[in-house]
This record gives sequence, structure tokens and C-alpha cells, in this order.
Amino acid sequence: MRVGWWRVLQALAGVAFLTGVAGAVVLGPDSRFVTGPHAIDTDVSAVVTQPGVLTWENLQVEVLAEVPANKPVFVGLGNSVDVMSYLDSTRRLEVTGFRTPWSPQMELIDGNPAAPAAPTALDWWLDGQGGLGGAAIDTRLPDETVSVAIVAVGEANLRGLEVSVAYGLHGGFARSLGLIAAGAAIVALVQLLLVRSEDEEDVVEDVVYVVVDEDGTEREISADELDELGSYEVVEETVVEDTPVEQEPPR
Amino acid sequence: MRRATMVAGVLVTALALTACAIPRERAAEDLRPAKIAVAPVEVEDVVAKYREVRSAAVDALDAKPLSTVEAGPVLAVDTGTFEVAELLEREEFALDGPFTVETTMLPRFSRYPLWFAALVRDEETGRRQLQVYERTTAADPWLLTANPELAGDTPLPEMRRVGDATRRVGVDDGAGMAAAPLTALQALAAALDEPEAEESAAWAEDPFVVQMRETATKNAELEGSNFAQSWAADEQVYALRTADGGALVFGTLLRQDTFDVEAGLRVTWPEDSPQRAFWPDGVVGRGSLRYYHQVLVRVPPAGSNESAATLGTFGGVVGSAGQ
Repeated sequence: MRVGWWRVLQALAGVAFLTGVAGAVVLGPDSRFVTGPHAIDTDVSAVVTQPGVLTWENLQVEVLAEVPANKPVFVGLGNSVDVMSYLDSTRRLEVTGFRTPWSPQMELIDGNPAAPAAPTALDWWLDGQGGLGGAAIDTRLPDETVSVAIVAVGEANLRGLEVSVAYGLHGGFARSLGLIAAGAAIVALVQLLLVRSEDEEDVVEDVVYVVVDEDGTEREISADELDELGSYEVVEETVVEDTPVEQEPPR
Repeated sequence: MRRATMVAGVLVTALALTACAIPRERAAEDLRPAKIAVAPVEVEDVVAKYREVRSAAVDALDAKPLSTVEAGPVLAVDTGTFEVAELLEREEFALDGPFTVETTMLPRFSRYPLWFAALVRDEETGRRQLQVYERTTAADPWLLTANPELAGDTPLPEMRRVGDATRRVGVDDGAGMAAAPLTALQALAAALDEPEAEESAAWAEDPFVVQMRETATKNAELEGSNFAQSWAADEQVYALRTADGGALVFGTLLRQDTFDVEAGLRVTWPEDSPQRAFWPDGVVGRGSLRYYHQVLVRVPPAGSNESAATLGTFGGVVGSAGQ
């Protein structure tokens, strides 16, 4: 393999190493980044993200919704076609934009005070959880357009709502450590290979000529000696590496 | 060289293992809301639930539970069928045994209502119904809204599919086809309404049209009354694209039979007929029955030698007037 390709390989390994370091530092040992709780001042019965607000896939997201006085609440993730149809007639807060870690833009949409059916009775949630005083989902965003909804169950509303969000990569910390180890090992290994290769290039080669004297005796001479001696018929030309030569034991 | 390959392999494997579930931002064009009507694995559950409720309704000879699993013309026809069965003390057929979903047609939608079709074979009777289930909003259940039964082993055309999704056709979209779906249904209704019209000739040999004309002829031969029949196409239409560029169209035809009985006469019908159920003492003066006929129509692509044809039907009396 040419030296250039080795260097490319080494650079890739270096990138992997740095990515691993960044991942490990950002995610931490629990593989996630947590923000909240954030208070949302509202008396509606549903908060929902508009289609296209959640733009990521494969991101591990945990949403925790807490309401006071043990009010029943539901948190769910569903295809936006389903979620928006479900809450279409409901007075709600729509999250129209969002920046991580927590920077939502919201719009109040008027409608009926309560959702048309209990969220727990619907079969199309990709993930959902109901509870008294709080509910949470821990889910990976899929490769489809989805919305997250926080819905008050029954006659309750979401007054006093607090939301916490955690983002992460499932097993992210372990993967980061893996990248660090693999990247570092490959950088070192490639470096070792390249250094050794350079050493091999430094080996001095001696050319030895075998000449035959007038009396028929063969002897070895160097190239310099050959030049001094003048014209000779070269019988054999041998390349000798500059390595220790084992001496034959005396007989 | 072997050493180099091993090192490269280790690096690629490490990167692949860590990158396979790395979060990524989806492209803007992929963010439009869309979904296939129902996951393929959930179709059997929807059908099974329908059959369970219908079976309970049949056992009780009470159509009320059907409103939780049926809607529109199917509910009207089944309610009428139950009414006739009750009046004639006849047993209604349950279709509650084992079944097989032979094929599914699952369109993709960006908003509600959603619908899909499933070809369901009843294992005990061998009857095959191409059922359409619709969900009006995400808070509503799946309801059966079309139920044409195929005659015998009538084959269905190959459908145009993109992945798991079957392509839909707009009811007024006749591009590349012999006629738009709604237009084809209106032509069928017109052929039944005015058999003598020139345009009706294209449907003259259709089995459903032949059967309906025979029934009309018998009714017209009834002595002591004048018989009139009218047909119209309902605007609720489902259409799916076939692989050859045509369409498979689900629609409902509304039929009204009117009997004007001559003064001083009373017309009665044989036992076991719907007329007998609604008019047990016969008709004096004027009586009319309303029917729904759901039809599955194959619309060929433009330029085809084939003509549009009905592949399946489902219908019955949905109301009456007069005595």
C-alpha cells in the first residue's frame, strides 16, 4: 500500500478518535443530554409539535411532562398525519419551531376544550404513556414525519405543565469509547508501520564484484577497487545487504 | 498487503458499527407528513374485529352493533337485510368462521380520511369480498364502507404499487384511462337507467347489468301495476391504479323501484321477497323500494380493446315508501 493511502487511513482514524472524544464529553456516561424542567404557561388541553419540527431520525429522545395535583396526563409520539388529525378540533398549543436544547416557538390554536377521545384508547401511537401527575416516553425518532403530543386526559387541562427533555444516542457513551479506542489504536499502528518502512529504506546496499586473477584465482572486490584495477571481465555481480554476517565456526 | 487489509477492515468495521444508528437530520423534502393507511400486519386485526362484531349482530339479529364497524351504504344495506330477515323470520348469514386476507391494497395519505382495501376469503363458504375500510379521523375506528363480493374466482388486476403503498386515482382523474372513476360509474348508472340509449351498448353484456335488467323486466311484467326504475351513481368513490394504467373503482349505485298499482287493485309479492317483508299486505296505490348496489368496476387504460366491467357487487333494500 502506498504511503499516501496509509496517511488517509490514519487521518480517518484520527477523525474517529476525535468524534469519540466529542461524543463522550457531550453525552456523558448516561449517553444523553438533559434540559428542563421548563414551565409552559397554558390552560389548553394539548401541546403538540407541528409536522416538520422534529427533523431528526435515530435520535433518542426522552420527554417528561409533569402537571400538579396528580392530574391525568399523556405523552405520545405518533405519525404527524395521525396526531394532527386527532387534535385538529382541540384548543392547543402548537410548537411551530424548536431549537435544541430548549428553544420552542409556540402558537395558540383555538378549538374544543378537550380532545375528541382519550389518547390511551388510540392504536396508532408509536410510543405513548399516561400517568397521574406526570408521564414520560423514552423513544428513538423514526424515519418518518412525527409529532410529540402532551394531552390532558378527561376534563383536566395542562395548567402548571412542566416539560423536561433529554436527547441522546442509545449506547452513545460506549460507542464513543469504542471510537476512541479503535481510532487511537489504528493511528498508532499505522504510525508504527510507516516508521518501520522508512527504516527499511535506509539500509545501505553494497555491490560486490567477483573477479578472476590472471592465475585463475577468484576474489571479491568492491566497486571502487574495480574502478582502480581498470578493465576486467565481470563474471558475477552480487548485492550484499549491510546486515551482520554470521561467522562460520572454526573447524 | 494482508496487514494493510486487516487494518482497513478493523477501521471500517468500527466506523460502521458506531455509525449505523447515528442521528441524522432528515431532508426537507422528506418532512412532509405521509403515512400508509394501515400497517400491513394490522389488516387482519381490522378484518377480524369487523367479523366479530358482525357475527354478534347476526346472532342477536340486531343491526345496532354494526354501526361501530360499518358506515354508509354497507351499514344501510346490512340494516335493510336485517330488517327483511327479521320480518321474514329468515336467518342472516354470519360469515364468522376462519378467513384469509388474500391481498391488500394500502394507499398512502397525507391527511385523513384514510382507507384501504383487503380481499377477504371466508374459508367455510369460499366467498371473496374486496372490503374497503375507512377511518374518518384519527379518533375514529376503522369502518367497513364498501363490500363488493367477487363472483367465483374472478381474478383481480395487478395493482400499481410503490413499496408497500398502492397508488390512488382521483375520482375525476381520467388521464390515461378510458374514463375517470366517477364518470365510469355514472355511465354504468346511465346504462341501467336508459337501456335503450346508444351509450348503454358498451355495458350490454356486463353480468351485473344483465342481472338487473332481467329483474326489471320481471317487475315490469307484473299485472295490474306500472313499474318504473331509476338509477344514479353516488359520489363517494374509491379508486386505485392498476399496473396497466387503468383503475379499480369502488362505487355505489342508488336504485329506486316504483310500483303504481291500478285503482281498485292490490298487488302482493311472493314470500321470501323483500317486497313481502316491507309490504306484507301488498301495495295499493303507489309503493317504492330503494336499493343500494355497491359495485367494483374495472376501468381499462385509454386505447385498450377492453371495456369497463363490473368485477363484484354487494347490495340490497335500504328503505321503502307506500303501502
